[in-house]
Amino acid sequence: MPVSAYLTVSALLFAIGAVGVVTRRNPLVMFMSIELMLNAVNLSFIAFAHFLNSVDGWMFVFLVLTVAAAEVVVGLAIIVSIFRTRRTVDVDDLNSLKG
Amino acid sequence: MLFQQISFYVLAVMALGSALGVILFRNAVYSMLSLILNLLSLALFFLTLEALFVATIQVLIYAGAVMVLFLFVVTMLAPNANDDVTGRDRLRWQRSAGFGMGIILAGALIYAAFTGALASDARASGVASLAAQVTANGNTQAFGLALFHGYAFPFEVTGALLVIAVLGAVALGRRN
Amino acid sequence: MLNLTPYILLAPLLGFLALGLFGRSLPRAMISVVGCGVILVAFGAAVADFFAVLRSPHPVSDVHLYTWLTSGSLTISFGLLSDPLSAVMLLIVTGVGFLIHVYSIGYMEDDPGYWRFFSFLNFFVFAMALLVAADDFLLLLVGWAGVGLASFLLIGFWYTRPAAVAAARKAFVVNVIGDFGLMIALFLLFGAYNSFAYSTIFGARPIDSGTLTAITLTLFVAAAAKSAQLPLHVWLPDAMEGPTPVSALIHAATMVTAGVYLVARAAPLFSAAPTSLAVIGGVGGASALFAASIACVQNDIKRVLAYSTISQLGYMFMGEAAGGFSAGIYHLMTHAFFKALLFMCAGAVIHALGGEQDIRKMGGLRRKLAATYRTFLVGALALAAIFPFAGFWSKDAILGALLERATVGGGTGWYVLYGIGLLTALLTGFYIFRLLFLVFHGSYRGAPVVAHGANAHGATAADPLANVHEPGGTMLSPMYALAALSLIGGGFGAQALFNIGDFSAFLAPARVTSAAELPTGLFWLSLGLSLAFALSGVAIAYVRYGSGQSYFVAEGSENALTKLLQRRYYVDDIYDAVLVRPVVALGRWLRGAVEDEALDGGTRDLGGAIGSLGDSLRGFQTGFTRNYAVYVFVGVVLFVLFFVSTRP
Repeated sequence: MPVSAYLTVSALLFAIGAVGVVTRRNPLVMFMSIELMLNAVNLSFIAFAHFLNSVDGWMFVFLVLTVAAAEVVVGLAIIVSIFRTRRTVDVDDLNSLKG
Repeated sequence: MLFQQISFYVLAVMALGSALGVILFRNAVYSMLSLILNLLSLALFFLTLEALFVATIQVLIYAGAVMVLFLFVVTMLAPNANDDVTGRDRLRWQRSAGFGMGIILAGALIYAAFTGALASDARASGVASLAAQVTANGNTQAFGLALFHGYAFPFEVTGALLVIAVLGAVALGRRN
Repeated sequence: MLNLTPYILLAPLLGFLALGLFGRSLPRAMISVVGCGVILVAFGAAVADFFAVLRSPHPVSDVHLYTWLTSGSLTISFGLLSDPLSAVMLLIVTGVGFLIHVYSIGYMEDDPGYWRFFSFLNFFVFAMALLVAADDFLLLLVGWAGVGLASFLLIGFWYTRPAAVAAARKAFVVNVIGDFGLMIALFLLFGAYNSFAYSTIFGARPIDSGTLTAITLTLFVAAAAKSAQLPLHVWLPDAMEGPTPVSALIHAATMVTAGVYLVARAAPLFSAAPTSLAVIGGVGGASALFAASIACVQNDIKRVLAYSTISQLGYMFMGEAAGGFSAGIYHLMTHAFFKALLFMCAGAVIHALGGEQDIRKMGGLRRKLAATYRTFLVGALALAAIFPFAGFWSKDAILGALLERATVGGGTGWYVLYGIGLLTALLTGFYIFRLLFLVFHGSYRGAPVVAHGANAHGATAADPLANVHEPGGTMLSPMYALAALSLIGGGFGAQALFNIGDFSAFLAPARVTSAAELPTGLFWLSLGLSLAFALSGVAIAYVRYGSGQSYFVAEGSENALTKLLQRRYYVDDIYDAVLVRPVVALGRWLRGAVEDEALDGGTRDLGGAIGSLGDSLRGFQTGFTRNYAVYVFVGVVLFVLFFVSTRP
């Protein structure tokens, strides 16, 4: 398959993830959509590494993976500390920055 | 070749389908399970692209550790949350803007993918190339050589980042 | 030749600076000594200068003080001139000025602004001396503006009184019109002669008559404003709000005569512009008659004298218009003597009565204020031009010039002016003796006079004038001095009986021309006529007011003529309706429409627009994270689209 096929899949996954961030109200699902976007990027990196015969793609994926993991940890900790005391889990309730 | 094409399409459908599942399921747990499926299909993609080590760590770390963390939090916070995607949204234009933007973005990126001259731009093909390395040393060793020779500094910084993340999580997770 | 003019200017300037800076803390005696002393020094220098001029065969000397700027072919420098005309004027300014300074010691003794008064008076003497001693028109303009400022400061000396402030403002505004005329004249002069200096301008070749007429007319506008001629006379009666020494010095003897001086100084220019001379004659004659008629019905002692000043200045201009420039200066000199004297006497009366100025509340004061009465009588006789007082000679010189001009190819206009001159002489005799009789003769009509600051002991209805006393020595001695001058000041003119034109010959080197001699027959006719008219005026006054009855028309029952005169021909009302009200309304409209609405409103609307812009942009800050995510998304999409569309 030509690289453009893999890039197409990656683009679609990225778009789907973006729409998910914007559309869903559950903070956890929003987070998951972000993970989706990160994975889409990983796919395109690996595709390029294969087609350009270069190891840099693998390296980037490695770094993205690590950072994503760290990010998930911290993000979930924040979400937990915000929503621990509320009964509803809805991002739209956090609108006190309205100006 | 045929096997490759078939496997590509199958994996593509699996990945896209599970992605749609992530954003469309009302139940958060269902979304999460769809995400796990998505991660696994991506790992399989990596396998077809001969990135064995990366595929392995994708499964181990992403699908394994990260998603387990997600599972814990989801079941702790809102196992039965019903986030209505199809109903009315409090914010007007939000949904239509999101969908519109998504379509535009996907279209633009696909267009970019197809009109580029990337496919023929293979870089090194000699000893230094990736394929040569892999055949010479094996997948993992090639990965390790590259990591610790060219990317040692980012590796160390990532280590520091992980420490910071752990500290942050501990600080945030405390109950005062 | 000796030229002491710099010292004549320097002394009063030093006095002004010293008193202005330090006077507040000096004791009263020292202020008096400094204030009068510097003027005495200036007077001494002026006397020495005068004798130098008298004895020198070539009595014109120009001392160069300071070159201000040179630009290409233009050089502007400051210099002072010493010639017969400036010598005479300086004598008058410093001499009468000195006497009035001494008078002020007594008159202003109770005033808390004593030091300020003397400082301003010194400044005035400096500015007036600068005006008459300048050797070019530009420096004259400096002095001109200076005396205008001094007049403003002194009229409004009692600045807490609204009437005084309004009068000062009025004087300044009318004066500015004159300043404007003078500046236009300077522009025209420079354009025509490429210089401001008297010597250059008066010695140059003649220029075309159109420009010359324009120059002389604008010069006369300036003169008319400063010398209170019709229609720019309105400030002078109001200027009586100032202290009486101010009225005596500035508005009788010196500043108002600056216009007459200007015309005399520029005599070579005026002589070559017959149109302007006709205008001057007309305006002077009209002012003389107009003011004399108003003076006949005034009830304020100082206002009578103010209108009298306007009238006499009209005389001076008439004389100059007829070619008798030296006659005009001659009358200027004698007028300075007797008008200042009359004002001083008026001041003495006011001071004695504790501030009363209305003659309807006076009368019978000649017993208590005998010395004042005698000096006032001398001044009145001089003003009415009765033989042998000074005014007789000078007024006769003017009438002679008018008659001469009329008979030697003049035309009916000059006969009319001559007739106006005679008629005004009659009115002059009438109003000044009306004043004398009403103030000093008859019986006292006012309230009991309160003593200076003390209780009114001794002043009862039976003896209301018990507290009235003569003015002190410092006030009386200048009055005596001026009375003597009013009597013998015609010394120059006494020569005229035997050798006409001694004064004129004296002034001739300063290019101040005079009218030709009248043939002997006409000369005696003119003399006789003027005396006759003056005496008839006095006689009418005596018949009406002299034998003790006071004939006042009750309010509301005046006939039309009296009313016209009392409202001063409605000139002030006309000015108010035509000039003042529209300008004030324009100002109000500008403030409302332009300032408040357009300018202020514009900035307010701009601010409001920016505010509403900010308000509408607030709509983006919804507080919802998902909205912010959409914004980011939109940005990314735009970026990608840009990237895709500009790919090589």
